[in-house]
Amino acid sequence: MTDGEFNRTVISQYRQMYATAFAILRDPEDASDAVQDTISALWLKHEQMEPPDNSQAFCNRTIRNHCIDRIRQNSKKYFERIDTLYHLPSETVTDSAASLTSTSSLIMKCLTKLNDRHRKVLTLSIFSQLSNEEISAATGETPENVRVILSRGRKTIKEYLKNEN
Amino acid sequence: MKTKFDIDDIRILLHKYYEAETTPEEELLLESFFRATPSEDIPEDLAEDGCIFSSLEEFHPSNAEMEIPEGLFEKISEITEISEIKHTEIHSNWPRRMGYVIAAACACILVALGIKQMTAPKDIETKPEEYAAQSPTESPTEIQTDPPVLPINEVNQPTSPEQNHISNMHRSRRRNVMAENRAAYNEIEDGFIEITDPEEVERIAMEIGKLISRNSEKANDAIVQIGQTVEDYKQLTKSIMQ
Repeated sequence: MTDGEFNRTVISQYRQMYATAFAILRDPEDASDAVQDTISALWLKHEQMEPPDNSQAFCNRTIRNHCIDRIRQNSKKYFERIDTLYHLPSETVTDSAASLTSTSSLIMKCLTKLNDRHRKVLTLSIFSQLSNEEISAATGETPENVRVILSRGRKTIKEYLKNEN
Repeated sequence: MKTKFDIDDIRILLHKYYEAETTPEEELLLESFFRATPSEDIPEDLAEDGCIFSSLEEFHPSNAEMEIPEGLFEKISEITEISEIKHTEIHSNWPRRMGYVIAAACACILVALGIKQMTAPKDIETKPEEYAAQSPTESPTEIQTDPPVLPINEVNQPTSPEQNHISNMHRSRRRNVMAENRAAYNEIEDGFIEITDPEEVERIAMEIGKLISRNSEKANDAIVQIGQTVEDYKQLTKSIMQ
């Protein structure tokens, strides 16, 4: 891939890459770092690469994989960030937490009652919209375990809301 | 109002959802269905699911949150610029390094050739005064350092009658030089010559210096030519890549 092709296929997608990174990592600084690291890694080996057929899909997949790696390497930071966004004590309320409906608050309350392992899997599904395979890569659980945990967790949430209502 | 077909599709997707068999795209489809469908059009048994999916949408980041931070594009541009500078520096150094290596190799070859040429006997008929001017001494001059020794028979074995004749001629001329300037040269064992006269040493060193400087000019021209060839190659490679 020439420098011009790299600009056209990768650099031009940086906005979409940032949006994807932010949707997963939920932090602007982390998302910016993820985009820069991804583009830097692609630039270093761009001369050995062929231009992708679908640059948007290619960049999307690359940034998603990088974000999953970041979550796996520093999962504590990620889950603390989600907790900060949506599970704060009553005296400190973020815009995100304040705008939630009662059903959303109940869902979050239900999540806090799950064990740590199930909570992590459901958090990645609900707040970062990761697929089963991506959750498996981020947590180290097998894909089948992820599927079972998600299935039970979703049914638990539905049952909890039914009881609360 | 949604068709029965759509509702049946939604039921299938919901079943897959609670079995954790849906993809993120299918889950977004469920969210958009329940967002777009009025509550009166949703069957009663799907009402709870509708609430859940409407709530899940709230956990997605807003457009305001996803605004590109200031300076991100500049930082990205810096990545490619810095890497480009390093790339250019590395690639522009290698012809110069090659030139240095070639120059060093040429210098070594020239010194060896210069020494070899100096050991070849001079034409006595054309420069007889040079040897006549040197006065023979009774005994070798004491020299602070070890006197230089030169191998007599360092030429390769001749491969043709003509080369054999030339090599015999050189050997006879060398013997004549030694005979004329016997005091400056002592033939020692193993075919080597010991130069005992310091003036003779100085003369030989000067001749070697002249030879090296003459040949180094030629070597410099060759190196410049090599450098030019390398530049042409680089330009050609660049134009092919473009």
